[in-house]
Amino acid sequence: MKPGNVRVSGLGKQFRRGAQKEGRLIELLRGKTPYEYFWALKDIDFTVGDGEVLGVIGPNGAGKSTLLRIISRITRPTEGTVEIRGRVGSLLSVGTGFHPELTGQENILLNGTVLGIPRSVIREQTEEIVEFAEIGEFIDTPLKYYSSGMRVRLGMSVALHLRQEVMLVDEVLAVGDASFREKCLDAISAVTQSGRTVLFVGHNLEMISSTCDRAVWLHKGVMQAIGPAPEIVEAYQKKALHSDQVQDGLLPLEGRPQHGTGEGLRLTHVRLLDEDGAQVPTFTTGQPVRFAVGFERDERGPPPALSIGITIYGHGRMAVAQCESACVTDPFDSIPDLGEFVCVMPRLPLLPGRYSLGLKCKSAESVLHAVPNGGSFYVLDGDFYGRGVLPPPGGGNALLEYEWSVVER
Amino acid sequence: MTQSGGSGHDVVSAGPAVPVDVIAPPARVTFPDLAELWRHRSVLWVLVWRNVTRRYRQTLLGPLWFVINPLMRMVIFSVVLGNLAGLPSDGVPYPLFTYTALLPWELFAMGVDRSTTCLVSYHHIISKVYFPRLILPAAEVVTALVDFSLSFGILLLMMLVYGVDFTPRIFVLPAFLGLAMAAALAVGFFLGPLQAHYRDTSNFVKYLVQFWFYGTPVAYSATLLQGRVPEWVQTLYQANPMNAVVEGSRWALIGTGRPPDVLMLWSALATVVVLFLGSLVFLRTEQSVVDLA
Repeated sequence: MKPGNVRVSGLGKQFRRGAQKEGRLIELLRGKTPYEYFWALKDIDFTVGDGEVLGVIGPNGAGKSTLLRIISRITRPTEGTVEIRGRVGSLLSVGTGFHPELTGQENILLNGTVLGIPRSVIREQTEEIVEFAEIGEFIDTPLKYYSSGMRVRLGMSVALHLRQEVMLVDEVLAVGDASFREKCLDAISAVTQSGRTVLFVGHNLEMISSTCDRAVWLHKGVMQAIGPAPEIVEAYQKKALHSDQVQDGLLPLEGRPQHGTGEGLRLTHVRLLDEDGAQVPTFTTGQPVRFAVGFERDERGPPPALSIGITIYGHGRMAVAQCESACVTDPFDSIPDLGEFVCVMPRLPLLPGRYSLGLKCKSAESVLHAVPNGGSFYVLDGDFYGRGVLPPPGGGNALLEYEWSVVER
Repeated sequence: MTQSGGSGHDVVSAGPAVPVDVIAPPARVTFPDLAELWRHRSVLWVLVWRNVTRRYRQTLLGPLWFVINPLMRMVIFSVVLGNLAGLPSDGVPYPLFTYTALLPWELFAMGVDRSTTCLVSYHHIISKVYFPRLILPAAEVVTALVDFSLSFGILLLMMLVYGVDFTPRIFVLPAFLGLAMAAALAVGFFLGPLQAHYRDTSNFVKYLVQFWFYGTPVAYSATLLQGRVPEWVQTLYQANPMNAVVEGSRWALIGTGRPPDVLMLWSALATVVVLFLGSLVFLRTEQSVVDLA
């Protein structure tokens, strides 16, 4: 194996499930074992190396963290082996060994050493670490007086100075305020581009398919697939689509958190429709689509000057766009007892992926009914610009209309 | 969807300097990997430093506490046991008599206490990052040694005040301190894993150390037993490695106590054997300790 190569063969990890009770001596004497066992990982096989970036995806409880914990030698497998040529650095251990009574400076040394950074390197890079963490003159203050954000930033910036041959990275590590998050993501992608072997656990599927060469998909401890990242991500998304309850294209709003005065009207559901008004389970990029927001009017009736709006959210509930009736048409003054507000889009300008909807129905004065999270829908790969090409994922979800040309000056 | 290419990258390495690590299920017997421990020695130093520094942060007296604690203990012992109970001290001033034994004893007692709980108290570290976990009990015992050295300064001052002659015997002292540390580590190797499984252990350890304390001539002179107990009890009593540590330290510092003898050598050897067996037990448990959480 070359340096930086990792070979996982037949890997399995069994955990026990069951409460740790008091007074176990009696149970032990009776010969009872109070535990049952389950496999958190089973029959995992793959090889990664040569500066490859391997994404690890799967729903919660798939065994992603267990896999990384075994590779970083924190816990031993129950069966199988991992062979590694080179040292393993882990960005999962942010802030490990931090002690509140020690100063930031001292904690950098402590944390760095425990993570396996040579002391000479820590000393050389202390300034850089402090600067990245944005803690400035707090460097000589005991850690216990730090805000939680400062602590995390300090931990993160130490961890980002790890220089091992194999790196384990978890995307949720990008924390803090927006600008620090951005810095972390930049630093993480610098790690993924450094030519080292990287195992990347991610939840942002767009980021996985854009930064990883290959991806492995885990489900309940079992390897579903491994292969080129975009392919695996797509397969995973399709699977998730099938297990989601929205597959018939009807998103009921009942039981979802909601607010508003409730005066005269209630939103009941959202339906996904194609251009002919037929209900569809998913949308396709660039196709004509309709959102139909169902409502029920009560006998009092709503106040006049109604407007309706939907907000489309992408990954991590980042708002992508808002579609407000007030922007494109006059307020609705009269509505039927039962009906739907229909929003028509001639060409859906969204990249493939999972989105969710927020809904808000207002009168001139007040919010009548709002459902901040009205459920989610999927957009499948399609054509938007008429040339069969879409921008790569990771650069924003909305597709704008534009033209490019060259002019002489 | 394709299955993994398996061993497609199986090319002979260009850089033979980087060894292949194999992570495998826990082995029945794992021997201590001294080379690996050496590679990770800086972790030991930084943990010791952390233990020592953090204790006097945000205190008025700071590092003085390292000296005050054993000093107060010595005063209490002198007043209660030396003056009131009138325990014999072999003709040496009682404070000096106690202190020469108390310091090595504390080194042992603190080492036992801390190394027993280390797998639990460092759980937040060992569940996040890997280094050989044998370093943890070792760091705890070395921390106890740092405490010892500070109090030892006080002892040297006391010896000057009482006009004790320093002899070359003092150079034998490190051997006894080494034995105290080995004994502490040996106990910690066995009880640390037990503590990780059952938190009852540390309660048990408290009493174990107390019994051990009274079974060792720290606060009283070993002459107290002479002629009062059968020969074999006396032998057993002296076979206690801490007896060797305490009596040997007295001999090295103030000339009383027990000069090094064959029995001491045997109990030292036994300690080393137990220490080795303990390390096997520790390494066996260490591999699954994180999952116990």
